[in-house]
Amino acid sequence: MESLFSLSDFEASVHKAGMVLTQEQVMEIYTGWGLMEPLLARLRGKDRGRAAEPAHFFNPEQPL
Amino acid sequence: MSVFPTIAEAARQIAAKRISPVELTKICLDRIAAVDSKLNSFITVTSDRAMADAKAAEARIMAGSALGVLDGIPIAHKDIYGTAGIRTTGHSKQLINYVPDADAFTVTKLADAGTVMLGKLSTHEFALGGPSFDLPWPPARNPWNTDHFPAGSSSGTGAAVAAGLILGGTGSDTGGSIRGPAALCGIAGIKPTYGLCSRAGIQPLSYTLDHAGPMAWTVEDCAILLQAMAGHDPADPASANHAVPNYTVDLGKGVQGLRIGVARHFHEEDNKVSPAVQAGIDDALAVWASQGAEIVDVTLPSLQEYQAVCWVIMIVEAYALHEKWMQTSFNDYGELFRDRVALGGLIPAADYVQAVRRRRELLTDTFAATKDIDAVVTAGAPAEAPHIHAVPKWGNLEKPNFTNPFNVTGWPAMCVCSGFGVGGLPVSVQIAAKPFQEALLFRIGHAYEIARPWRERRPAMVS
Repeated sequence: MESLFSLSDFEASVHKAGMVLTQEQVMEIYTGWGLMEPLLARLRGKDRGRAAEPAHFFNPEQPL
Repeated sequence: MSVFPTIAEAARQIAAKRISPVELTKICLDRIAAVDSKLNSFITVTSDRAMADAKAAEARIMAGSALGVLDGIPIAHKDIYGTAGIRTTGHSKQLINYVPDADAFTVTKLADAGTVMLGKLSTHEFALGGPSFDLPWPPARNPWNTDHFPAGSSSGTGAAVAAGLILGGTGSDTGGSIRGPAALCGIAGIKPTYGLCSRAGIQPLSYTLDHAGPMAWTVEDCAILLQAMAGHDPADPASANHAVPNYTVDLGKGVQGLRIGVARHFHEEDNKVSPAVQAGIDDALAVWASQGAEIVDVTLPSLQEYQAVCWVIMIVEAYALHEKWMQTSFNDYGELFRDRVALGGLIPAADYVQAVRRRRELLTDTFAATKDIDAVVTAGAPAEAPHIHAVPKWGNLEKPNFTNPFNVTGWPAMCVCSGFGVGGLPVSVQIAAKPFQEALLFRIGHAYEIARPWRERRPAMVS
């Protein structure tokens, strides 16, 4: 699947993440990114309330 | 005793002193020596430790002080479970010489129950990257046909149980890594409720999706192993402080009066399964209906909804914990692991939070859709095991799998063999239930398992 992210922008993102990759490795991962984008779009496209909380919690009374 | 005793059968034979733990352990070690060069299910075989464990169990039994049904039963651990003094590699070059100084909590619990540790089992690299051919050890293969994939990531456990090299073992399940190998290797495997089994001492992949659990030849054996593994552990922040019921006492109670929901759209629309898998599901439903269960259709959010949440959370959390090595020793990982996890370093933080928000919505929707049913049934895998060289790097992004929903919700889910396909490889049905309803899952799975002859067949390579 073709990515909405241009290859040059994708390369910049890889560089910013601190990964040192060959051009061949960048191209492989870019293919996977094209498949990841529809999953991200599915998560972004929801009309949820501003107070809709993530499924994260912690107990302030417990050290762990 | 049969050539391939189950844990339950072996325990009865040991209790009756018709076989000793030492004899049983030698049978397993001999079988490992004979066939594991074709299966690659073990990374490390701990023969000396196993014999010492077996002799200790035998001494307890002869003294009349046996520890219980698992005393003297040979098992092995996925090589992400920490084992004191024994190499724990994660099947990765990154940890090739790593020797923990403590056991994982669940390893200790199983040892305290008297199990005999045969060794450490192959996994997909750090429970994600496989099947890989560029790691220090080869990938495990499917004992029903060694050209085929055993699934993963608990691939060694699935292969070794099916081939009778071990009577049971441990697995971990972040997106389906217990249930996938159980499905493709034709065994039983349960991902318990999130927090039921401690993850302390196990190499993590994704903190909020990781589950530890058992794999064995039968549902009953999974129940016996889970009895020993489950329990609160203050060292695991997600550990549930929840009473552990007796998982075997109601095993034979049957399914009379239960309402079993079929998430038909999962396996008929969202990711259409093969005819053999469909036939297995239909057969299981027919068996439960004939035993008095009510079968109803249930509509859940689509598999794609759960897949998006599962994969975004999984690879972002995996990247966070592997970030240093991804930046400094990228090429010391296998290609499959590093390429998949690299995506996690590129996903914006806001998208991760959206995934976690969506997770809560899916949990709410899943509860609402199942409020008047006891269990949910669907496929365990879409088809028989593919050829080991035909597993695409990005396959889990291209098509949703059937196991992700129960990692996202944290609900218990189990795969049970439901027959064999045209290639002679096993197929599976998956059963899920509400949190902490493992005993109910075992009842349902056991009711099907004893009604069908699938447990009488073993892979030809060991038959």
